Amino acid sequence: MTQDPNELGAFLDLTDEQRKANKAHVAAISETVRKVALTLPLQADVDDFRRTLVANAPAKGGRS
Amino acid sequence: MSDILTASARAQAKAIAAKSISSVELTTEVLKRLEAAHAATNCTVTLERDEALAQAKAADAALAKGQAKGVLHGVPLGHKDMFDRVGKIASWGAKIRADKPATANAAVIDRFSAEGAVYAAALHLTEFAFGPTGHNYVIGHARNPYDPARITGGSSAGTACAVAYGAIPAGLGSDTAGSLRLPASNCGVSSIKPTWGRVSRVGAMPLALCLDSLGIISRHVEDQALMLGFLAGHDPRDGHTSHVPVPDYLADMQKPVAGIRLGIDDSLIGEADPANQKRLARVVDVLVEAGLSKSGCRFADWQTIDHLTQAAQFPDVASAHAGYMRNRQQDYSPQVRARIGIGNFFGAVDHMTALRARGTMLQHVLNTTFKDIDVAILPINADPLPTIAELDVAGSPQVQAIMARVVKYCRPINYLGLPTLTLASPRDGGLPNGVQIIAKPYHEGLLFAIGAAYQKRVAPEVAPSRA
Repeated sequence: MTQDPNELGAFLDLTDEQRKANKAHVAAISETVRKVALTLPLQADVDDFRRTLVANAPAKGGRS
Repeated sequence: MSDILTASARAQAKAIAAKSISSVELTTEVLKRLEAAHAATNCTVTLERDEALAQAKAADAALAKGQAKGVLHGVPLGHKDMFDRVGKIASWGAKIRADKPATANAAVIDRFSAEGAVYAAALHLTEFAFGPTGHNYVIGHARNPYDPARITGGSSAGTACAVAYGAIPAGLGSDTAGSLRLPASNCGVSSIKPTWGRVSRVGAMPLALCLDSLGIISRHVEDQALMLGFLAGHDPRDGHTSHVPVPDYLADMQKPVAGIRLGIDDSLIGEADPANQKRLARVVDVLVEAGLSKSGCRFADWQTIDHLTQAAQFPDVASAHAGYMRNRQQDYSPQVRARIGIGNFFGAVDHMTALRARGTMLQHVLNTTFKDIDVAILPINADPLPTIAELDVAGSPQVQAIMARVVKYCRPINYLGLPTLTLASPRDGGLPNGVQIIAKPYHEGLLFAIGAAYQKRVAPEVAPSRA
């Protein structure tokens, strides 16, 4: 089967079966991510993660 | 000699400092053990015999002059072969390697060197550290020290094998989706995956920087406490490292564990094979005997978090390998090529959503799962230890689903960035199987206290082939 050069991952040396399996796997994940996106505040930022880690570090003098 | 070889790195350093053994004597013996371990498990990529003995000789000379360098003076160790060392090209477990030798050491290598450790060997890893089983179609599969027909887990397979075999007390690994925990569990040893951003990754081969954590595999938890003490801390060259102060982990390790609340999610644990559930229950019994109290907890969004992890991880990996995958695709083994390739199928919006949601998801887990507990316990392996042949799936279309089962209990923890200690369950003559104790951010000291209390009751083992 000739690969559409504009398709995502067109350059990859994959069999049709592998390509189909990859697409199905990503589609299932995408469905979950889109549900999360529905509830995510507009202001949510990539750096929230680091801030949350640090904010939950042991308090000074507390048990680490 | 066997007693010192099975001792902790800390005890070995004390023996060298007390001159009850020289670094040259210990290094000579360790090199022999590494050869034997390699013959049994394929754990070594490069044995640095001449350099290690030269370093050991220099360490002995420095000690004679009263000039010991640090807490690991003269102790020979081996590390996963993914760290830059001056004048060397790390194998990355792959056919594709850096174009030229490194001009600087990785930050973690420098820190071990500053403490006086001897570099004895570069150790096996899955190709590009991207595989949870220990299969490597370029440098050969790693073999379990307890049963050579079975997997070691990956990707830090060589470190786990060498430690389990009693060749070295500890060594470096990395963990993007379970790569410290799975080999530690499968080889019957311990590991610490620190909080994401706790240890500098400068000079370490990246896999997915949004998830990668460097950590230690060892037999004795006290070595993890000792080593994380000098590995942790901010590094301006790795913008992801945090400024959170590094505590005295060895002091934390000594603190009592009575009353620490251990969270148990029966529902999630119940998705593991019954045999693995029983092994976990044995560990819980030991921890309760040590003074921890059991409490129910719930990781309510495990599959959601796992999917978010994949949406974060796979495009990150594919992006790191974009150049090589376009120019040297045939130099990847079929499995790693297929697994890296999938990152190209994700949309940019999904990837960004996964990254933007991460702080919210972490806070939610801390507010709910960890609301009434201090730490949680989960299996590391969903299934009993498989054979190398059973998981020899190469680039099969089913590879994503098969690997998803292997990393089921590990991968979401990397998305949450939480510190995690691996403990070997009582083996009772069977195959190794470990559990993970998960703590809140930067609470590694609490994990070390739990680990030390556990190892007072369940002593670290060496694989029987050389015991």
